[in-house]
Amino acid sequence: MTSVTWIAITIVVVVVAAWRARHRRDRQRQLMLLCTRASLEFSTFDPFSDTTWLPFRLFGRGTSRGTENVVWNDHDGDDARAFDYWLEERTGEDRMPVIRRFSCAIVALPFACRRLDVAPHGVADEVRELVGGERLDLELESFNRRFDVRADDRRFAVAFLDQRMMRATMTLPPRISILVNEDRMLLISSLLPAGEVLLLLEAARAMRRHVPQVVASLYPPRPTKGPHEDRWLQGRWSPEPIGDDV
Amino acid sequence: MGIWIVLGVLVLVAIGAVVSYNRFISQKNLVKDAWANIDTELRRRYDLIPNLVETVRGYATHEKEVFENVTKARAMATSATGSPAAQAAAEGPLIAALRELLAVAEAYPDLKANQNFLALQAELSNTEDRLQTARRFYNANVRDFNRRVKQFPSVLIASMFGFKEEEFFEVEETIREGGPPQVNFSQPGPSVSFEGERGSESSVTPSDPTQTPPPDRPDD
Repeated sequence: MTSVTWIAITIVVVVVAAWRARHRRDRQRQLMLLCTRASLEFSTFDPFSDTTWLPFRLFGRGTSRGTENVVWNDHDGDDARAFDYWLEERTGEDRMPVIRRFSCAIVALPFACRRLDVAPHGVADEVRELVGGERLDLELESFNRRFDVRADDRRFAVAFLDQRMMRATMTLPPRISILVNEDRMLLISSLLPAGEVLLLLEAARAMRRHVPQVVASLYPPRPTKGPHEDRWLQGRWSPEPIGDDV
Repeated sequence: MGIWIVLGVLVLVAIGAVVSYNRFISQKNLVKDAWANIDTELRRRYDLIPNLVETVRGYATHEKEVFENVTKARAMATSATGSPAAQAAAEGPLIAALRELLAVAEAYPDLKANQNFLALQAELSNTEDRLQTARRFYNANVRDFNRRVKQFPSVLIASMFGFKEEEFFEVEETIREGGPPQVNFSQPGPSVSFEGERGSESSVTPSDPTQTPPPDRPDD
């Protein structure tokens, strides 16, 4: 290739990189502005220490990863937050690095949930928590046509996805997936425009309100402290006291 | 060469048949376990009824017919040990009797304020939720099992080994007045939509994100 061609390629690469950097800055600025108007807190970096410890396999993938543009509400004690998550993977024969970006919203649930994965048909495996295995069909055919439900515990999936929850899920846009594990629910999508990030946060809060109350009865929250804590961490939690606890 | 191909095909068919049979067994066990869950919740409901009757009787001593109906219906439901359809049929009169009992309780404000009654009512409501979940889980497993019994090629294994369709557990009525809770998403609520999204099934336009968001709305 001639030097002119190389120069042209270099110019194109630089222009594209500059355009993408500018686009990210504009999006960040717009998000900051929207958060100010909506009285939400915003940070370009992640002030929460537990993001990489969230119980979803997405947060452990890739050769490097990061969280940015975090949105949350500090005023009413709400623990919901939305953020951009990126991860770098080396794929293909040439192991070229690929950066994937997602918009996420996370809320806490007062239950000890089993792993559940509700994703629209056609969503890439990288977003899925459970890949393969049997899918679960529920009573609403329109829901089954649109979503692919996989779960470690079918009973939990049936309890979690009652008709009200299914109808609420169907009001979400096509590309949003819902992942549930332990005491967290994650709404995840490919990177969204700034305005839609706030809607994703509100959608996560709304979905939490729709979770059936019976789930708390069937899957009570894990004990946070006390004599059962060690047993929980060792994977053999039981409400019955043993040994010195009796 | 031809014989090896035939043998290979026969081995594959045999493996497929074994896998299909084992899957039928697993599904049948799932159905049985799911039915055991329903039975557990039904027993919980039956165990609550005597306390509930006694609490209401303390305030409405003259409603003898109502108490007798509940007691008789409970006895019939407890003794029903047949198929899921028969059990569901036995639950109908019990549910109707319980609704009548709760309707009687509505006429006594002192009873409605009684802590024991309130606790029993809450426990009954919780039991109804758990029973509904157990019923949905059971029916989901029956649906999957019945689908395999009827679909080809698993229908061949089913007929060969006598796997038949299971019965659903469908109860017409619920204890709550007006039946199961109704959800209306046409009213303003917490559901959201994304502007410019093509083919979106969402129907409610959210608040403009550039405006200050409204306070959290109560649940539907």
